[in-house]
Amino acid sequence: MTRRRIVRSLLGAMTLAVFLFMLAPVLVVVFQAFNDSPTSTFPLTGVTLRWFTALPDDPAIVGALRTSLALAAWASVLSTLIGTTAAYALARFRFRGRNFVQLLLTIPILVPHIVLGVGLLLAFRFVGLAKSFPLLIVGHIAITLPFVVLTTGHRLQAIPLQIEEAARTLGANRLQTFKAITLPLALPAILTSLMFAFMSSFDEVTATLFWLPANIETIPSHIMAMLQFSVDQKINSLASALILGSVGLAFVTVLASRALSADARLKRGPRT
Amino acid sequence: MGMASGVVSKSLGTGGQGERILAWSLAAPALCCVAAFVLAPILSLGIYSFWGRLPTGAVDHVFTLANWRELFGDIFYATILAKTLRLAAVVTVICAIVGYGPAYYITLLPPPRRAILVALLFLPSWISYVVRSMSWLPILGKEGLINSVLAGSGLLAEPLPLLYNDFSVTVGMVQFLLPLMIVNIYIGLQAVDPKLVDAARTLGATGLQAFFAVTFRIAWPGLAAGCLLTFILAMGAYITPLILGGPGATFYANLVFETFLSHQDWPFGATLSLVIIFFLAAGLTGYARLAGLSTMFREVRR
Repeated sequence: MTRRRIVRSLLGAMTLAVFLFMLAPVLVVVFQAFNDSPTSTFPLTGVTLRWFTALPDDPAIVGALRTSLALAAWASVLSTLIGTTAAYALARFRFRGRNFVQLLLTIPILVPHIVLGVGLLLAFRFVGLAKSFPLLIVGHIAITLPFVVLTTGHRLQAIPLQIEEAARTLGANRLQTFKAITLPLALPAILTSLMFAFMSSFDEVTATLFWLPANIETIPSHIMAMLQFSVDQKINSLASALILGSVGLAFVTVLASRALSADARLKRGPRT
Repeated sequence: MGMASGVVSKSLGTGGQGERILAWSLAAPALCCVAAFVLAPILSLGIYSFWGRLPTGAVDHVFTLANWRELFGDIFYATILAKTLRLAAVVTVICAIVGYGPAYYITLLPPPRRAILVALLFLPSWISYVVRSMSWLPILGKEGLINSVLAGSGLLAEPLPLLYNDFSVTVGMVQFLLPLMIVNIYIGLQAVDPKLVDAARTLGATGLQAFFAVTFRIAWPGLAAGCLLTFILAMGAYITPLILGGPGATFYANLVFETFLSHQDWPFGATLSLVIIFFLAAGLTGYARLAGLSTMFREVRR
């Protein structure tokens, strides 16, 4: 028994170290963003907020932020709509070719973004289309779609069919059943898909660099450009804002999907 | 699914032509997206790789094997490919070794704590890849955290060369791909019924024996999927070497990037990219044979 406990605490320590390795480095960036010195120093030479307050004064950053927000909003909303309907078809219908469709919709997850980037660029050139903002949206839909299909699909699979059958037996048609039963039960997963798609699109850079029209920048592409010149605290403050935003969004998503889950709603009692 | 056999489910559309048409039309938009934005692009890579390039730099729409001849004829490309495959292999092995313990540990935890760690496991994928990569700059740099601490303690006369070399690229890649590896190992471990492990223990196996005879054997598809994904993504990563690599840090994906965006040589760039697709296809075929594709993409339970 004691040996088992030793193994467990060793594994626990290893897990802690690995999580620190994955997450703690970004804290150094946040830490340095408050540094008075323009280059990174340990310890800080002084604490300041000026790198953060300088961010909104940089028109390039504001422009890139606008582009990234618009791109992520378009891509995530469209991807969630398209992906959720497909996931519903896969989870609620048995038709010939279903397994093939399932595979086709999820396998793009495995394709490295550089290949997607290069390929879509060439495919567009093939039919005579130039790089443009719609091309970016379309590419980001392709990248985020498999995640939506998987996340929402898993949730739909987990909803017991009996509940929907009860509704159908009581006379509801398919659409009514979907609206009254399936959609509310799947809502936490749909919300998670939407938020995750938004963040992945916002952060995507590997394929995006191939698709960006000459005069457009996204936040990650702008950071890449800034890194070419020098690493000063302005990048760190921008990166910190990004970290704060994404961790905040992840946190809000977890809380919101919990609040939307059936268990939580049951605990609050029936709607009156 | 937990349905009594023989019961025709009303909500599970099975028969009818109307149902079939409805199912296909619901899936159609997604299928069109994949066909137009994933499959057609890969197909166009294939077409471009057999096209030439005019002296002006424009694409010459005439069949040629020149790109493939250049790829296989010039030792330069083989060298970079070998270097990249080695990096991808090293990163994969490190991720597998370092990631197995935490994935296993999470399965041992009681549900509430397990849910927290699973959520934390997904947290890195919410944070920008560029930001995660650049976070090593103030840590590994000449005046970075590690060198400052070592110099401050009087252990070092000269700072260690930790940044802008293959070491920092490896560190960055491991950090980028480790969460993915752990998630996949964890998915594999979920398939293990704890009762089987208990049975092995009852039959006299030690903890270690039970682990290798039962847990590891049942859970291996997760590890294999993690390795496949890590390897392919490491092969296709150019952002990490761009941020953390030295001046000579040209890995295969950087070559693709430069061929496209600096040299604008699209036919040859397409040829280079197809090699990545080839490795992905080979890995996937092997995986499908050994574990079956249905073991991939399984749900992460909390």
